[in-house]
Amino acid sequence: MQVFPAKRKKRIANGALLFAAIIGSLGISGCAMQSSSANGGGPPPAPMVPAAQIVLCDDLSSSCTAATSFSFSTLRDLNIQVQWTNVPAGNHVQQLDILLPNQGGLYQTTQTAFLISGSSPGSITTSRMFPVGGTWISQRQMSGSWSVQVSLDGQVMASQAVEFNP
Amino acid sequence: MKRYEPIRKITRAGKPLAWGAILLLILARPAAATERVTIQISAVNLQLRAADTFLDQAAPNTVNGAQQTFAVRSLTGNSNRRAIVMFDLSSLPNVGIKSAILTLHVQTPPSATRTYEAHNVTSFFTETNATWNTRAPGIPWGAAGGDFTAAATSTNTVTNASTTLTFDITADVQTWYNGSPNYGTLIKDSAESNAGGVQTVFWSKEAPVQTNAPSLTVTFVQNVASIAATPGNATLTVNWTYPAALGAVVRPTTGVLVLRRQNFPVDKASWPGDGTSPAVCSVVGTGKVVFKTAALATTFTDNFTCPGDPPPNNSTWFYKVFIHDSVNNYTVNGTSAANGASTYTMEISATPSAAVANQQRSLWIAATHSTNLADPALFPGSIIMVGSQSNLLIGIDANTQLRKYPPVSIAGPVTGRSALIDSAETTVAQNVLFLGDQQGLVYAIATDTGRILWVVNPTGLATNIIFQGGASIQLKSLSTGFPFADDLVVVGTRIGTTKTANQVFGLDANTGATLWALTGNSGGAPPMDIINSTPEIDYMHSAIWVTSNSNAGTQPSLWKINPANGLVIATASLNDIDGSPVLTAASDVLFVGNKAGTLFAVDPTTLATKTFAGGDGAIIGFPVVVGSSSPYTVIFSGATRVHAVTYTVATGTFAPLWSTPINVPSAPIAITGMPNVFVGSNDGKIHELSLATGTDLKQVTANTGQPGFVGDPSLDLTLSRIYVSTTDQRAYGFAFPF
Repeated sequence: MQVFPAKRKKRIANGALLFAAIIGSLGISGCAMQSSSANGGGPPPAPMVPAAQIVLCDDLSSSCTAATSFSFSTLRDLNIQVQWTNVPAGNHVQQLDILLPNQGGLYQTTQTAFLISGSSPGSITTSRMFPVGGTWISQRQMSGSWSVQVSLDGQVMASQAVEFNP
Repeated sequence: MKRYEPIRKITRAGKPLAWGAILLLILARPAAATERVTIQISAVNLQLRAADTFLDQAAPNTVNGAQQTFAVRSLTGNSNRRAIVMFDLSSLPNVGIKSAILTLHVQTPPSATRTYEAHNVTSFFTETNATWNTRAPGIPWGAAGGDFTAAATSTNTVTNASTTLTFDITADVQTWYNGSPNYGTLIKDSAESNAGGVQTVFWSKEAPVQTNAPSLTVTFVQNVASIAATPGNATLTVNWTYPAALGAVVRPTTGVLVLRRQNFPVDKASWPGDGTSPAVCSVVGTGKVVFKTAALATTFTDNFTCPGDPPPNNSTWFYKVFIHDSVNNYTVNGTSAANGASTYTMEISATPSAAVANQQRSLWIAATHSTNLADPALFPGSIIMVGSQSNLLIGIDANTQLRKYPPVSIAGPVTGRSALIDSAETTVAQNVLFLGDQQGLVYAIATDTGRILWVVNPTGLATNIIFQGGASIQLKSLSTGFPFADDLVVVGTRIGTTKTANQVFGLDANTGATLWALTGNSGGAPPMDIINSTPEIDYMHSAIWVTSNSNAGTQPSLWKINPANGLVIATASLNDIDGSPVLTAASDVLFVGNKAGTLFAVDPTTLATKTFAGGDGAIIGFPVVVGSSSPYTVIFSGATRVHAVTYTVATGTFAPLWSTPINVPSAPIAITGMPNVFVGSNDGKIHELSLATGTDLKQVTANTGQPGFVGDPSLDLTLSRIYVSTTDQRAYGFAFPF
């Protein structure tokens, strides 16, 4: 039997959880469950895990093409879309934190509540216009790698780096 | 052992006078401790910021906030009812919460036992607007029936014999004292849409017998007061006092624990755990324990003797001071690392140095939880109001340096400096702050109490509407030919989805009612791009000046508006402008700077312009004008320098005066008659420049982040203090001159 150091065990456990989350988010956990439960045994079904994808775009572009780098001398508002999947039915609260470059702390935080109707997990997309042009970001040339972090019901679910340049 | 020595000495004396001295010591001893109060509406606690109501699914557009009762109901057919209760916690402005128990008094119990849930409400609402569908004027809930946390904070059962129902909402109240807005608590049935229907009716704060109103019993430890840091040569002394008790004493205060950090404030997620007693020189989060006492000490001199302490001189040291009681409960709020349990614990900073001239200290530091670089609003000698981008408005008492009340919770982030008007001048008859937020709402807030006097949604839009700049107010008492009964509040929109149809509103300062609206491309008005600035009131010319963007130079960007009706008097096309316009004291010139870096001198009557193009990049914020008559000195910031020019009205000419390099400067501040100019920078400092020469005379350190942006300064001439906000989620007060 191979014995893993505690730290490595933890990494493996985290990796398994991450894998379950990815499988869950891809919506193929049902297939795996069916194949493994044919003889009545096997592991319990992987729970459907909520997943978030953050999409950033310049609201003025008609196609809202996703990007992660913007010039604050031309960008007016950053359109922050959060695409949620596998969110359990019920009331939820999304928190969107905009973090300063260089681990500089919280710039802005906003909360958005939404309801997943029915009794099964669902999908929803939230959108927020984050003002950039004419704000301190452009006036004070706050360039660098910012971070957009999204939480669901108090748990951080995704983070996306965004570069603001002159 | 040390703590008992004074008493032992007195006892040994064996004289009656000594026992009297002991009694006096006990009576005179500061009484703050772990304390408990019950907050409930009464003749002495008017609960001005409180609200309670119920949301009725069967009557989804009915407002129920004024009723003497509210109901929680489970009934099929879309007929559920949910209650919301929000308390005014103003009586507890500077505390660490240990327990908070919500009690509701039953008017009519349910016919069968039910389980009810208490959830933290997550969106702003008003008692006069909240319905099942809507939370504020023109703004729906994110989900009909209220916006609240998915997980219940607490549950409890109510029976047909219940007279009260309690919920432990400690965790939620702690988040309200850690930088999250207080929007109250929602109560709902855990199994809604019951076929037979079952309901409990509770008394509201409007109950005819006030002791039946909802109450909140809070156990807490107060912050220290009068905190001050005095630097020396390789030494630094921190002083504080213990506040008087606010409630019944549960356990006595027994001392303080002090954390210290070099160059940065002690992180909000660093705190001593309740019940623990970290040793001196041990590390707690980002801080080091440098002082801990079981006696009621009020001073501590830091000689930097812990192992590994670096040479102290010429570094800025930040201290966070926690009161503790006899079982080591501290001035912290819970255990949430994410929110930061010591967000609002009192802190201070100072810089020791061998050279007295280089020693410096802050007078106060206040957490803002998020970033705001606007100049703090103030009523000199009285109050400082700082907005935040976490939907909060923080009121600081300019004299005690303490928060006047827990932050005012509003709907959206605040980014503009807002007008704060003295009661002697405004018709609202209180010290009132007017502001707009990024939810598109405009507020009047009584700064004495933190009460929201009115809130309106002038555009009627629910999304994509922002008030980026501040609000201005035209005082009736200073105006001639003023047609309105009350003062006039003026705000401009940043509706990012349009480059032509932005709006300027004139609102009644006493009610928020829209008196007029100017809409770009409508009613004969030219197209109007987004507005990022604060309007300027021109009493001399009976006009309001507004700046805007210009849709790539194709539209007007300077607007002269009639305050009586909102009609456009004149416009000028000066390309994109993000900064605010500024009038001279004599109102004979209007100065404005655009994004291209051009400074304009505008004739307020003809709108004829003279230009100065000697800046360096976009003009930041607003220019500052010094002088009571021409020639004026105009100071403004560019990308890397602060510039001063003179402007002579008779000749219409600018003349460069000086230009001083400052890293990414804020807007400057200077006052006629003062010899110096103050400006923030991204080096974490406030720079004091000579008005005559531009020489960078001296600096104080406010924010040592990398980079540490310091926002636009405000000056309090009554107390000779300068206030700034920074990117380290704090506001600072310093004495000036430095």
